[in-house]
Amino acid sequence: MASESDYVTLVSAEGFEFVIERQCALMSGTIKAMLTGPASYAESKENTVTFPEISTRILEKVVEYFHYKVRWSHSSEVPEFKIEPEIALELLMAANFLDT
Amino acid sequence: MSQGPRKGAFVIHAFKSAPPKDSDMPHKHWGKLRDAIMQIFNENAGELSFEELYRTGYNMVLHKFGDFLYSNVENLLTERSKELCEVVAKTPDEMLLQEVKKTWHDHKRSLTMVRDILMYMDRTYVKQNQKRPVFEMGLNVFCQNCTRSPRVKDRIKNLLLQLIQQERDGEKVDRNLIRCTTQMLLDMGKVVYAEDFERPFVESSQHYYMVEAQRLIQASSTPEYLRRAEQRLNEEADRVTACLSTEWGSGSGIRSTVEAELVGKQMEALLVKEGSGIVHLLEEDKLEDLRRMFELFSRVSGGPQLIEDALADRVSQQGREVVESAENQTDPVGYVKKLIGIKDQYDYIIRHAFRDDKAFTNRLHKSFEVFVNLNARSPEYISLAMDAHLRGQRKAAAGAAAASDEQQVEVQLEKALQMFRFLQ
Repeated sequence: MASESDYVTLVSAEGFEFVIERQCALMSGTIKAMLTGPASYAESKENTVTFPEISTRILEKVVEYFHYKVRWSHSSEVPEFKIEPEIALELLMAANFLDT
Repeated sequence: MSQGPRKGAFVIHAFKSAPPKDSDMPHKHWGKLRDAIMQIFNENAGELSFEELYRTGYNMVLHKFGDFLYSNVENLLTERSKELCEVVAKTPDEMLLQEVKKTWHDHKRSLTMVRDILMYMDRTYVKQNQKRPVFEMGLNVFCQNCTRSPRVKDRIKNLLLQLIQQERDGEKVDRNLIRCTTQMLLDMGKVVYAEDFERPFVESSQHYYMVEAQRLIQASSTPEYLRRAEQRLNEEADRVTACLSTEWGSGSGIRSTVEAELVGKQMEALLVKEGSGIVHLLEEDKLEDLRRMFELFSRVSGGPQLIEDALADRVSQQGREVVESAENQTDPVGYVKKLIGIKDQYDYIIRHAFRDDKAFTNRLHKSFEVFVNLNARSPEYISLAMDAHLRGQRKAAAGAAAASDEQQVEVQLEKALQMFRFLQ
């Protein structure tokens, strides 16, 4: 079991699994703490994190944001990140939770 | 969404499933967190789900139970520190420092994990209420209840000082242990470190070196003492950088204290020592020792001044001997030669032992001015000597002597001219 594998899995409330690059996931402070802290929590062993309170739709958008951020981190000319107003509130809560 | 897609209109749905306000909820949540933290303390964190614990903390803060959570955490950490203190206090002295080091290390680790779980609280509740973040609070609690507890605090200090003294006396000690312990004290706060360790350390160092200096000054000659002192200073500087968390030149005063004890207080005694003091060193051309003396004395204020005074005294004495001796009155060239000889000797010493210090050179010239003018016939002698040199030069030119001969005469003329400058 490689502790530095390239991909991590994020699981939503409904059981949907999103496999993303480790580097992208580390955009979230919470996930970063989980995976890189000194302890070996269950999560870091399996490289999988479950979020029973975040729905699939929101998690999908969050993952999209991770990629967006990694892609445009060091540029000045950045395209807009589209957020549908209906999910804005839940997205805000999730972002607050995840520190991203 | 339910309404039709009218341009610009949208519906924000109410949050699905607002959790029922459960008055027992905070206690249940806290129970879960408490159990988890206890597991962490027992090094058993592998089974835990970070996400669940983080979410629990998050929910508590979200529902305005941040206060409750914070104070409970604080209490739990205090209890834990007290437990740890019990264990540490019971260990015997030889094992104490090791035990403290291990306990501290483990505690820091657990604390980091606890902090990670409670990061949401740190970010929101702590910031909003200006409390200390969890990690810092944990360190503080540990410090108060364990390291500073009456049974442990003094023992740590005494053991540390004892180890340092042993090393000074030449024994081999575990430097790593010293370093870890001082690092721990430093982690708990600069104030803690300064009070609990630095100050007693400087005091004990002063005492140690005072005794050492007195012992050495009785037992050894000046050059020997200087060598030992230099060695001690280097040793101490090395020790401080390698295993203490103090800077050698820092405001704690360790450097100035040691220098004052070893050098400052003994300067006068060193200069006038029978048979090995400054006069002896100058006469015997002991450049190496003179240089060392200069370097060491320079570290203390007023040091070089003392050397300068002693030098001036000696030069004046020598010069006066030449100027007032009867036989020199009949031999002007010899008279001037001797004076030049003295000047050369001291120029050489100043350049090689005293780093060509301008103050020393000036002092030398002043002394020369004084004794050259003591003899009213000095000007006469000097001109006679120059005359003799010039005549020698002409002879050399006429006799096709080697160029170096001529140069030599030039140099002699130059030096005699220097003597002229001292006349008034």
